[in-house]
Parts: sequence; C-alpha cells; structure tokens
Amino acid sequence: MNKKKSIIVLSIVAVFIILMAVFAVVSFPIAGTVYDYNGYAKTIKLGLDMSGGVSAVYEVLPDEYGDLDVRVTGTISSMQSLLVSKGYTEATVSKGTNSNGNTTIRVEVPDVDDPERVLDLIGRPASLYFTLEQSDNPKSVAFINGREHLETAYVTTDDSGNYAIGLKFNDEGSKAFATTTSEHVGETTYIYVDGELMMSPKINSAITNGSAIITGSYTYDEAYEYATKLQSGTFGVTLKQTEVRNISATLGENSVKIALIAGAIGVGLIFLFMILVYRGLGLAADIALCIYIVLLLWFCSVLPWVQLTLPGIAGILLSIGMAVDGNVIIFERIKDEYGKTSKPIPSAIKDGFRRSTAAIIDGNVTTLIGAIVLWVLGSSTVVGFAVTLFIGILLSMVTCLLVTRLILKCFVPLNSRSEKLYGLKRFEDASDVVEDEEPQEESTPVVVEEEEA
Amino acid sequence: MAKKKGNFLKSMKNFKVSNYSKITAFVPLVILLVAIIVVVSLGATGTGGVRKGSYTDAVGIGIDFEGGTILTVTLGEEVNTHYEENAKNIINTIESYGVTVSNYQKQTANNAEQNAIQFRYKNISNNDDDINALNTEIREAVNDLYPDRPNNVRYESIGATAASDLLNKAGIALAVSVALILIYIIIRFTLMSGFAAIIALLHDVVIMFCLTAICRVQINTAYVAAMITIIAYSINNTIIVFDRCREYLKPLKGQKSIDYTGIGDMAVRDTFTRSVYTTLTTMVTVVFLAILGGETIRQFCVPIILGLVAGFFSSVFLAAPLWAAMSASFDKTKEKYAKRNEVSYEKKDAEGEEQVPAKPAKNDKAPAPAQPKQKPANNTVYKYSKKNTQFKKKK
Repeated sequence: MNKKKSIIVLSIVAVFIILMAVFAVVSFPIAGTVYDYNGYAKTIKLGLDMSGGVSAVYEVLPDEYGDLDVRVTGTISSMQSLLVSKGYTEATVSKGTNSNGNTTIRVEVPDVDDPERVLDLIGRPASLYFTLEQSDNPKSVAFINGREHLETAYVTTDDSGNYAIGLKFNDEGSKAFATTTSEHVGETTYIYVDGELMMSPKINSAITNGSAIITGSYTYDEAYEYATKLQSGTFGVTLKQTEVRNISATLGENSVKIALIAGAIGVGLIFLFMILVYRGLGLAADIALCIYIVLLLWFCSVLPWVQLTLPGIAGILLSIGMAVDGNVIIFERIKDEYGKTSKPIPSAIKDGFRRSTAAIIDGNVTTLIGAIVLWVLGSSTVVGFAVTLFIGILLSMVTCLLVTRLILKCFVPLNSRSEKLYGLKRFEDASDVVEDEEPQEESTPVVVEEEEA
Repeated sequence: MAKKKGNFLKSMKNFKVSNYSKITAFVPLVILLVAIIVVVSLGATGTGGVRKGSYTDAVGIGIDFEGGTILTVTLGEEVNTHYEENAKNIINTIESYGVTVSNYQKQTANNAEQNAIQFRYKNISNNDDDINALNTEIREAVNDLYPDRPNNVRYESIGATAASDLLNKAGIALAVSVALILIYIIIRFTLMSGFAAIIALLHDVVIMFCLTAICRVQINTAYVAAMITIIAYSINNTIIVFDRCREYLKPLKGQKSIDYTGIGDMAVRDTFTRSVYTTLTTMVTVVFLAILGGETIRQFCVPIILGLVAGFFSSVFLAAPLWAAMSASFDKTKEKYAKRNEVSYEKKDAEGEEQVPAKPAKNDKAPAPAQPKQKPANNTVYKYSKKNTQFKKKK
C-alpha cells in the first residue's frame, strides 16, 4: 500500500464514521414520500425499566371447567410467547389478585410498536372452527376447534403475494386434520372465525403436515388482527380487560440520559487512555472503536429482538470496554515483538497481529458459545439480551482484527520509522534483548513479509 | 499517570503468581464464608426485610421471581407536578412497616384525575391473612397522608413477573455452555486447560452469587443477565492467559517433566498489563453509571464492578496455577500408567486418562506449586526462560 492509497482509505473510513454518526441522530422528511427518516440511534427500542410502557389488567372470568389455577398458569405462558412472537421480548406477564379477590393477569409491555393495540386484541379472543357442513352453530359440527387444536397463528402470504393468516396445529390438531382431510378428499370444508364464515376451500388432497392458511386478500393489519385474536382464542381462560394505563420508567425519568452521559464519559476516557498509552496505535484503535460504536447502535436499532433494558445498556457499555481489549492484546504483542528483536516497525506490527489472532479468536469464540446457548435455550426475557451480547462480541472481534489492521496498514506508509508515533521502544534490559544469532533467524520472514506488503 | 502505571507494571516482571497461590486460593474461600454467614444469619434472625427462616429472601431472590404487592396511590395531577416528593414520602411510610419497596413508577390514564403512583414490594410473610392485615395497615397509613383524598389507595397481590422458567433455563444454558466451551477448549488447547478454565468459570459463578448476597442486591431478571455478561468476559480473560501457555508449550511437545508452573507464571506475567488495561476499560463506563445513576442503578452496578474484579482475579491468579498443577499431576499419572503398562500390559492407557482429571479438580484449593517441587532432581528438567521461546520458535 502506498501513501496515496492509504490516504484514500483513511478518508473513506473518516467519511463513513461521520456519515453514520450524523444519520444516527438526525431526522428529516424523505423527499417525495410521506415518511420521515428518524436517526437510528433514536429509534432504538427501550425496555420497561428505561422508558416505561403500557400496563393492562385482565380479569379472569369464572367458568364451569374447574382447575382454574392450572389454566391461568398455562394462559400466562401462552401470552408470554404470543407477545414474544409479536416482537415484545421485554414484556412481562404476571398473575395477581385484585381487591375483589378475583384472579387477574397483569401484562406490561414496553412502549414500542403501538402496544395498546396488542393488549386490546388479547382481550378479544376469536374462536376458530373447521367444519364439513355449513352451520349456524359451527362448534357443534367442527372437526377442528381452535381452542384445543391450534398451536399458533401468524401473518403470512399466499401464492400470489397477498397477506394471509397462517395456522399451525398442535399434535392432536394435526392428527384430526390429517384424518378428516384424507377421508373427505374432493369435499368442501368451511372455516369459521368468531362464528363468521371466512372461506370454504375444496379439499384437494390429504393435509398431513398440520398447517393451513386462510386467504382472502387481507391487508397486513387485518391479517395481523385475526392472527393475534386467534392466538388469544387458544388461551385456556376467558379474559376481560379491566384497566389500561401508561406506566413510567421504573428506573426514573432520566435514566436514559444518565446512561448516555456515563457512556460518553467512559468512552471519552477510553479514547484518551488508548492514545496516551499506545499513541499512534491507540489512535488506530480509537478509529476502530468509533466504527464499532456506530455499527453496534445500528444493529441495536434494526434487530427486532433488541429492547434495551438496564442490563442491556450495561452490557453495551461493558462491550465497548471489551472492544478495545482485542486491540490491547495486539498492541502488547507488537510492543513485545518490537522490543525483543531488531525488527523494523512494519514487520513488528505484522507479527504482532499474526501472533495474537489465535488468542483473540479463541477468547471470543468461547464467549460467543455462551451467548448463542443463551439465545437458543434461555427464557424469552433474556433473548434480547443474548442477542445484544452476541452482536457486541462478534463486532468487537471483527473490528479489532480487520478494521484496526486496515487502519494501521494505512498508517505505515505515512510513517514507518517513528518510535514516538507508535509508542514503541527497544527493551533496554539486557536479559530481554535477544542474542546475536536470533535476529538473523527472525530477519528471514521479515523480508518475505515486506515483499508481500 | 499512565507513566506511573507503566512503572508499576514493569515491576511485575519478576512476579510469580504461583508463589502466592496459597493466599489467592484463600480469598474466594473467605468471600464464600462471608456470604454463607450473611445468608444464614439474616435468614435465621429474620432482620433486614428478610422473612424469618426464608433463605431465598436472605440470598436476595427478588420480587420478579416471587411476586408481592402492588400499592396504587391515586393522586391526580399531583403525579406530574410533585412526583418525586410524593413518592419519597409514601415510600417512607411503607417502609416503616418493615417491607422494602423494590420499585415505583408513574401510572397515567386518559383521565388525569386517575393518575397514580404505584409501588411494588415483596411480602414479608407467607401467610395470606398476615399479608392482608399488613397491607390494610399500610393502606390506612398511606391514606392518612392525604386527608383530602379519601380512599385513594388500593393494593393488589402480584405474582412473579419473571418467566417461571427463567432460573431453570439459565441453569440449563449454563450447563450446556460449560459443556460446549469445555469441548472447544479441549480441541483448541489441552484437556487440562479445559478443566482449569471451567473451574475458573464456576468460581466466577459462585463468587458472583456470594457478592450478590453480601451486597444485598435483589436478584431479578436484569441481574441474571448481568451475571452472564461478567462470566462470559471472565472466560475470555482466562483464554488469553492459556493462549500464552499454549504458545510456550508448543516447542516443548513430547518433553518430560515440563516446568508447567514456570510457564504459567510467565503467561500471567506477559498478559498482566493487558488484563489490567482491559479490566479498567470495561469498568470505567459502569463506574460512571454507578456514580451518576440513582439508587436502583447503583445497586445494579456495584455487583457488576465487583464481578469484573472477581473475573480478573480468577483469570490472573487462579487459572494458570490451577492449570499448572493439574497438567503436572496429569503428566505424572500418565507416566505412571505408561510404566505400569510396560511391565504388565494390562491396563489401557486411555482408560487411565479418563479417570485422572477428577482428582486435581477436587484439590482445586490446595496449594498449587507443591507438585513441581516434588520433581526428581535427577531428571533432565527443562528450565524455561524467554530466550528459549525465541530460539525454539518454529515457522
């Protein structure tokens, strides 16, 4: 890489950082459309403890089925998974008792994506019946009953790209569906949602995979509404919404501001620290850190599972500190390589990178394993957190191994000699200086590597 | 300031972590002991908001897991104008009954007259009648604060908000990740590195738990997540140390009586600067969060900061000596089996290998440097020094 090229690369990096930083915070209307662009850092979703949300209380209506406690518990976990599937990973659902002694279910949803709508839909469960004949009372002739047979309902699209309602039956439902459809090939089946005939498709062949879709050129909102209501219809108890309230952040109104200030001070100190300790190398690390921060914010804003709570924010703050870790490992190696041998600076840098790559990858992969396991096996409430952790680790590995290296590669043609610039020193200690033969042994690869560069 | 630290770090040049292993093995034991004393004494006496005889309370299991009471105080417009004052006032009243308010928040409705503040606290009894009696008392007392708003206080019981399976699943996730990490380390490093790293990891889990109990932090969903981060970073630190060990071991492959302790000491020395720097950079933002944040945030940050220190401690002071001791005794046992096999051809090597690890693992807290000292003097001991690494380095 020559001087000209490295200046170009550095400028591109600078422009990228500046643009990403600007787009993080500005908002403007997009020309020619009705939409506004909102800075991605501003659209990062926050959890209940940081920004509050909406709470709703549902009273469990008494019925004749008995065993209410068990069914309430089942309903709570179904509600939890319904909310998670709709993207509200930080929502909480809990059982309570109100002042009249009735069992209640309290749902609290962070303030993202119009939570009131979901809470409203949960309170209006829909029934689903599949029958072989038209009837005013489809329940009596149904071979599929949503309450017993449906596992989940979701928004999907049909063959022509229209929105449709996808249905997935549970084991029992799949069996019933397979038996009936195989016995009645060629006949018509009727699908009722909330007592209303939605469609009457012909059974072309036996359906054994336990899934079906309801089509009918819906808008996305309609399909979403039906799917959510059908899912609510699988709950084991009947719910009545008794209260909806906005709730404020449990950590106090200004917790986001405090986190931002603490983050800014911390990051500032890290920047300063790296430059003071490693000078030119530190500067490269700081540039890489800028890229790390903007990318991390972007991912947090884009990924649907991420709703930052206090631990999520603490995780991000920790991961910023951890992101320089890779750089510290590399730079300590470079110092070692330079101090103990008589290598020139460029090859010391190169060897420093080469010899620390394995350590960085191994260290981060073990941590990644933990994050992935948590993502897959952890309960729904820690999924958002596991995703944040995963992105943080992966990005920090990529930035220190690729970005820092790229930037240092650009620095070298600009100045390849100044010990002061790179903060490097030959060790004075006699025991550390390598004896005569060794520099020669070391110098062979050096030549080769310079040719490569 | 940076310069001063540099000098200090330089003075670490001759630092041998194995010389201190008696002391360093002692530290986690002390923390464990203190935690047990705290939990047992609080649980037995029932002080400090802990139900008598309830050890889950004493450990600090929070309202997220066990549920409690929500007290809603309707204050109308005043919620917006004098939020903090009212909240403080009411909390003082509630807490005079011996319960601890875990959080409070504004509750706003379309009709501003219905605006309220809600408080959550854990019940301090298991008996429903007692809970109701106490809650009624609290309701009356809080109601008395607002003579011009009769009947503005109501309470509801609330169940666990944390998914009931949170801790179970966290436990399963921990077990699975330990297994996977172990496999990965064994593939990339050695068998003994794997076991030493896992012991260091389990040490972190236990110590985090102890620190939680000692600091009286309520364990909630947020806290479980934070613990996981700390543990993840600590294993990362340990791996960096083991990477150096691996590097120094490479030219010695197949040698007998390797000076593992010496290698471990050198690896720790080489990575010490990095360990200190990294701990500082990860800690600095959380420290500021603790300084600037309110009480709840601080309660959350303090154990994280202590956890980072614990992670630093385990990867610098425990992992390498542990690895050295385990590797040395592993080699010895292997040798013994090899010798026995030469004579009698009876036992399969592989079988022996499987049984070895358990032994040093149990002796985890025992003085580590004991083994290398027992080395027979006559054997050709490969004395390790930095020169040799340079010389032996292969392409």
